[in-house]
Amino acid sequence: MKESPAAHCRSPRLFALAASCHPSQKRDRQKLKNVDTVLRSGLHFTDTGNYRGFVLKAILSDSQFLVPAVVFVGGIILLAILR
Amino acid sequence: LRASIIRAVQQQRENLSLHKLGVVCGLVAGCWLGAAEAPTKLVTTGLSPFAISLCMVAGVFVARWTFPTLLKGTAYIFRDLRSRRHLIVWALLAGGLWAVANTLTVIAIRDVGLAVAFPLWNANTLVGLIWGRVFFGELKGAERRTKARVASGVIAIVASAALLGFSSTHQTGVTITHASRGVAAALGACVLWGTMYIPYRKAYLSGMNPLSFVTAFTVGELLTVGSVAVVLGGGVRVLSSELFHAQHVLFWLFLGGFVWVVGDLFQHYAAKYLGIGRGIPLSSTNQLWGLAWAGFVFGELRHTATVQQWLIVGGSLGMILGAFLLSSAVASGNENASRDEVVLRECTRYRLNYAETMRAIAGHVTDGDAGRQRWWDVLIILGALSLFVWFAHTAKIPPLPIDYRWCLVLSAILLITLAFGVLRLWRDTDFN
Repeated sequence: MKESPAAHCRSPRLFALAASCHPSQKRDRQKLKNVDTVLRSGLHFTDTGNYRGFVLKAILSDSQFLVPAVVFVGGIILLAILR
Repeated sequence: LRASIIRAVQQQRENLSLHKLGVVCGLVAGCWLGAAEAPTKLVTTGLSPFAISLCMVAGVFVARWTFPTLLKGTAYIFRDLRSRRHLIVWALLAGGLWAVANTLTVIAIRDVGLAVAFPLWNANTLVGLIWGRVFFGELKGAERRTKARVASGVIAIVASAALLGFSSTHQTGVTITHASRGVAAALGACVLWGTMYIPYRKAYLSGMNPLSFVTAFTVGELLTVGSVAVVLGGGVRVLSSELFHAQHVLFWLFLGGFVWVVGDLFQHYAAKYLGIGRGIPLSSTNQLWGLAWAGFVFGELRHTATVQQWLIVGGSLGMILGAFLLSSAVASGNENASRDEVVLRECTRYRLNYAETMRAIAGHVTDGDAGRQRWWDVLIILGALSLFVWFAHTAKIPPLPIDYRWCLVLSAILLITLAFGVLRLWRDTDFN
């Protein structure tokens, strides 16, 4: 039998998320898949929020990401105003 | 004790060698980025700036799969991207930042003219220097002399680029109708381009290969430029009809994109081995090369006034001085220790292997399979090249006064610098 991803979880939040899943439920299977993705990626999972893919992960765990992201959005708004 | 002294000396030697490599990459980048403007001068039809930008970025995207694919196989590139996949979103964002900034420059030129707009957005290297210091500890722990050299070198290059920009401006009759709008656009482009260097440095301090970063970067660039061109350029139908009627100039835009991507790659290697505070200003010497192509090949400076000639002389000398100051500002052991702390921070945050990352930063091969081309790489290269051949088949040279002797001389310089840069990168780091 394949080992549950929960067994490898080092983050309590990730562990709780994985442990609450039931593999027979379709929605839970997706959750487990996400947990598995996090584990396989080798990324650090912060306990501050749920995993929502790499974009959100990058924003949540790395405050540096906010600077280029805010500048990019600001640039788009500036472009829309000045066009 | 003896062993640790020998190790320290070896480390110092390696750092100096990487510094020299970074300087070579920065100067080659300047040469190629400057030459990228030359093919676009052959586009004399009334294409909208959005269509020109889209074609050039499409050329950049296609060109990325030609020459750079030869350096490392795609298998290695995708393995590198997978192992640091958190950086993919950073690279896409960097491409988006570039594209938005580029579109803002179009608005700035329209509203205030190149003479006012250029010095404003050209200050992006100073923004990059600030971000480098704030986020990545660049120049932290550096000797006062080194800091002075970097700061004065950057200022000399930025000021000289502005002087050269003034000298090549032929828009004295531009009426400034929306001054505040144009200035806002130019300043916006400055901040966007300056901020774009954060993802660059972030990637290279995590040990990513510049070839991998550029792969995702060009995708972000193409997606953003495509969206901007569709939204601001009048929709898909207008844009496609514009491109259909301008097939004979597409090759020149694609060629411009090809030359640009080579320069951009060297700029990335310079950012990797020198940092953004030193590497980016060095590649800003492109203004000098752009002026050389405009003046010698296209005869744009034939009827320059005495004031303009002095601006050219002053700007060129200032740029050479700035490049010299930056080249001689070698990072000390303390500065490298600050960099290593940042690397450790990134490795802890993203659970990367610190030792392996440090090896990658020093340009050592971390993947035994790296550089092996597969059969599909050959297909990709052939596909990309065939696009260039197809566009070349339909290309027409407009009746412009072109000095072919100077064209040959500058092309030869381009090829020599490319050969030298490629040789150094291959010998010292195997393109890592």
